Amino acid sequence: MRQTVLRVERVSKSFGGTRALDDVSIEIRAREVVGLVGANGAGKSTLLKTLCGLCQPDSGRIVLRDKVLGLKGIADAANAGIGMVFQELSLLPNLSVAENILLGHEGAALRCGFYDWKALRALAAAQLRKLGSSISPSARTGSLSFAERQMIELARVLAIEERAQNEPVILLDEPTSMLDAAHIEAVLAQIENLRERSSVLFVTHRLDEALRVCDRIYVLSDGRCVAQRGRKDFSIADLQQHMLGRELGVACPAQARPARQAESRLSVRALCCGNSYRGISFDLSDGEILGIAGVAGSGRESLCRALFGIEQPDSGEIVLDGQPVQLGEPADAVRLGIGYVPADRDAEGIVAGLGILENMTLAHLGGLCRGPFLDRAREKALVEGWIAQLRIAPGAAQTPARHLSGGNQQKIVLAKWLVAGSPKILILDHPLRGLDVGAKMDITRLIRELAQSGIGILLIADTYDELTALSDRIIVMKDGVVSGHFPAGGTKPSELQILECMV
Amino acid sequence: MAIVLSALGAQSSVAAPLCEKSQIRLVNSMREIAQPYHANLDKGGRLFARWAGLEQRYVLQLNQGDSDKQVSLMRGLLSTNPKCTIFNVEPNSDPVIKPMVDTANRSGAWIVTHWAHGEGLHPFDGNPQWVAHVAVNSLDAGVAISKILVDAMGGKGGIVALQGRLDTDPARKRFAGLQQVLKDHPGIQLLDQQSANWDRTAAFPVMQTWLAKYGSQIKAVWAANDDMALGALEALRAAGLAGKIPVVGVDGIPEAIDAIVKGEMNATVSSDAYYQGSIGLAMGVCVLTGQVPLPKAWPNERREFYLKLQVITKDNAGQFRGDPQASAYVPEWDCANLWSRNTGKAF
Amino acid sequence: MEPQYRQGILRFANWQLWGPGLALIVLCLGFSLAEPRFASVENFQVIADRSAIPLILAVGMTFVVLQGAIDLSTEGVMAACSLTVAMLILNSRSGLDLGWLGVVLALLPGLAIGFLNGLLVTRLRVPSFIATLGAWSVALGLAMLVSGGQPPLIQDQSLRAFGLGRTWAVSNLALVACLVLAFGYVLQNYTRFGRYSLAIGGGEDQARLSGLPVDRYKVAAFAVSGLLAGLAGVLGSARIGLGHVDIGLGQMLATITAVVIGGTSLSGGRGGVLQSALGTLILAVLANGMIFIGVTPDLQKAVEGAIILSASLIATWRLRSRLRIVR
Repeated sequence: MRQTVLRVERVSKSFGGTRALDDVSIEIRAREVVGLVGANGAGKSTLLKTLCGLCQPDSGRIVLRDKVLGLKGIADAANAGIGMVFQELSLLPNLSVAENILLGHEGAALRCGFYDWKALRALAAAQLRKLGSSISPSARTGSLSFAERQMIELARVLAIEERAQNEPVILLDEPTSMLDAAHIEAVLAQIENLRERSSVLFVTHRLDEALRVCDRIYVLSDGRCVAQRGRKDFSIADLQQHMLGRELGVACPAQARPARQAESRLSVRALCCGNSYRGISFDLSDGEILGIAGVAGSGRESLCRALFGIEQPDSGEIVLDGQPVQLGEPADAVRLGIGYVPADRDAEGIVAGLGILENMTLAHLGGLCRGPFLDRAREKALVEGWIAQLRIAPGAAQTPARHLSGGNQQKIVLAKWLVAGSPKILILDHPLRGLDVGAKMDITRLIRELAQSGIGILLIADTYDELTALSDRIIVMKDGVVSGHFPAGGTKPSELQILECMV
Repeated sequence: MAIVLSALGAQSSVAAPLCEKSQIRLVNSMREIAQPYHANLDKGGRLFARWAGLEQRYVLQLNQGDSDKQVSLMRGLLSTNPKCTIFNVEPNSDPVIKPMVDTANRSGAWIVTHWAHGEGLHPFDGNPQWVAHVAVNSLDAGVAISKILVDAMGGKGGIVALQGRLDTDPARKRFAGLQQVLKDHPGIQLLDQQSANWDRTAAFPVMQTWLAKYGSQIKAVWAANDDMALGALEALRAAGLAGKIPVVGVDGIPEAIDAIVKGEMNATVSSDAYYQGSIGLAMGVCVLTGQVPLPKAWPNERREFYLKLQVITKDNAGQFRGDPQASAYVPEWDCANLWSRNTGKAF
Repeated sequence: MEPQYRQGILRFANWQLWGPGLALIVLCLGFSLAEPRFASVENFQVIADRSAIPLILAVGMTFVVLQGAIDLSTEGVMAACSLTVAMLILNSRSGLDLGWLGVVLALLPGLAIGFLNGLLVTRLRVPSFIATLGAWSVALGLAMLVSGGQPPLIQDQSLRAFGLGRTWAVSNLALVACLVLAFGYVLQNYTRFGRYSLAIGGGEDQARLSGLPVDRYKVAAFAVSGLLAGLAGVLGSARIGLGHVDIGLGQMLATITAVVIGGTSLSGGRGGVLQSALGTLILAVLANGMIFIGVTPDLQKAVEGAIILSASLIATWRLRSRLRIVR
């Protein structure tokens, strides 16, 4: 048995009245990858925060190599040899890659308070080499893609190695949830890599990933550690059962959908925009769900943004209900009945400071007005109706949106487009990203209901399951053109077939 | 001395006293106190207050260049004891006088104004509370210094002119004085003119730029006030020209007088800030204690008149150095002598 | 070497500098064509001298603005240090004569006010706008108290000679400004303070999350700004010859304008001291050139405003996407 490196002993933490962690004990040994799974709100983030010093436990203790830790902040944790890679990246966009990797610990590159740029870049390059990355240390961090920035985050955490006497403990907070298939593979490969020089605590939603790389898995539910499984006992169903406390089928049960013959609602003809996409043409009918698959850079995100008026295509035509339309800005799209649920919920979907009520009615205030004044009573009644129908919790209309879990926030974003009447087209960009199993089911059901009510839906999704479970038709984009098309009816395409078109 | 006693005694019952002496409040309202001119206004007011035994009843109101504030400060103070309050006002800008006079008329307070006011306004035109307007003939001042400047130049060459804040009467009239003098001297050319807002820190870079642009064409510097003249002087000093080029200003601040003695400035004009800061208060006290009749009984020339100006040059600069004593002004604060510096009607 | 963000020859195409630099060249050319006397050596010396104090102020302000804050206390600090230096060295009012020691001591009020600003912002969480506005009034008030209507005249001849004099055909003040600029450049690109200030402006939350002692650097930025404003006040007094309450009149807005025209964004995270220096020069050339081509004083303000608007438009043209938030 390997030696224990980090031990969490009976840690509890409450925020106000909520008990986020309840007597949790876990153990991480040398050179192993330990998985931590659980539904949203189960306490995974809180546990990670405690481990890296961002919050202090109310009771219990954390022991690193037989020494009790009293961590007061990230700097303390880093000095002790614990590094965290955040889910929402914490890099500084204005600085160069080298500075971000060595932030706060420039060491020899800082002589008498002055930067030695050559030395700094060399040190950073050394860290990047450990990961096999070719990113230039002089590049400006803000100009890199999400995946590249995640690489930098990893490099930054690895830099702890240089300072600590022992091998570091690396905490990974859902590193794959924002990535597409190709990059997920890369990250999982890195985790394998990391195993040789550190211990890793890997938090994830995706059970299949956890099963692949972890040596052991802990399951958290409602703040308590309810199960621990070793490699021999891994099983998805078993883990899910512990996470939710109930028996479940596949996360997104597939449903046989009849082939629909309906009028084409939205037609896109030969849409081009510079290098992002070229010659895109497709039709979308009433009540149809069209899934668009592709890796990052395939152009599908740009395409959807163009269909909502955020970006402008260079040439081509968008025809809505038989009329060609010009979408100069989102307001145009909203007026014509097109709704958009963005991928980055926090930044683009909800206004965190406002309540559920305000967020829901944001796009259609006009319909709730009496003369120049807002009809507050009508607004409230409408919103409460939707809260009940969508089972949004907590249900008070004035709860600030940022206090809700990811799944509930997503429900609000969807509701925003449903509030004042059905839109004709809904564009959903990664609607299930960052949600736990229960929320995924709710949203999936919701999307199906929306389609059944006649709304045409364009869906961008990451995982094969989501795509095939929800979509009637699938088109695949690669490098800006449509490279594959799987029509409705007939057998569902296999994962391999879709992957072949994507890369 | 006998005159003073008899004046105080004999005229003590020209009219019934309107206020108890202990009730009288003296207010000096001016722009700010950082510049020596304004500081001396305030000093003059305090000298008078001490002499009259009203030192505790002296109030200074500073509006920092904000005309609205000058009016609102007045109104704020008059919420108590308006009828025994005397305002001696250096207006921030011409338009400010009407609202202040209206306030005085309405509240029963008394007001004496200085320098200039807008067209069509006169104390004797239905403004019973407006005791007097002590006008300064800025045109005369401008003419006086310009003449001296032109003589110092020998009648030909180029002049640069630094103007004050362009929306004030003294700025416009003084410059008009220059232009009037220049008309008679075709050999002299006004190379350039620029407003430096009465401020020496603004005047410095302007003078620097002019030196670069016109070089030796500049034979004299005309400034609408001493502060700007002194700023221009420093720029001349940086170029090694201090004392070599005649400079004139207006205000008679101590620094300017020193510069005249040293030969770096040629002339300035003093309206005597100590006098200006105190005479309005003196007039008001005389009215309130009943030693003079109410202003509405005064002849018009005593309600709106020009103040005697003193031109200071090297010849008489020695007289004006050092802080004056109250004793120099007491005779002029006497109620029988209030118009000793009246040089004629100003309307 | 400054961090290079592009490869090859494009390394030197730092658009952030080229933009305002080009504008400066265009302005100079334009004025020279309209009025040949503008392009004389003597006039360029005048311009250099005239931009000395604004440049020192701009360097200080840049660090604060890079962090996404603002320092409105410039004029008050200048006044306070102006009065201090005038009272400490040989002068007409106090009996002190501390010479160059007095000059150094006169910088302390600036440093102190800067620290105060920093502490107000970091400890008491007062927005920098309000904190520095209050500091401005307090400092100005103290200066007025000391001046009291009888401003102390500086009689120390060596300081006066320094303020008005030249070394190797460049005015002393301009030399000091160049030194300050060099100092600012090194600070910005070669110290943690400079680099982390950029980081704080670009994403304070992430900076904190990364464990940076953000508060410490914020206080440092205000302290630097205060110190340099104090230096500007002292130098201004040396030139004018007295402790003057109005020594900084109008400088605060002019400094912020210079910083913005140079391309340092008011929301932080972008820009630098070189850019601010260019902005300062642009404003100085503008003011000087308008006198040369004879724009009437009444029109100068309007022209200045128009040029500032155009400069801002050009600087942010690339960023004018519809959906970008502008406040």
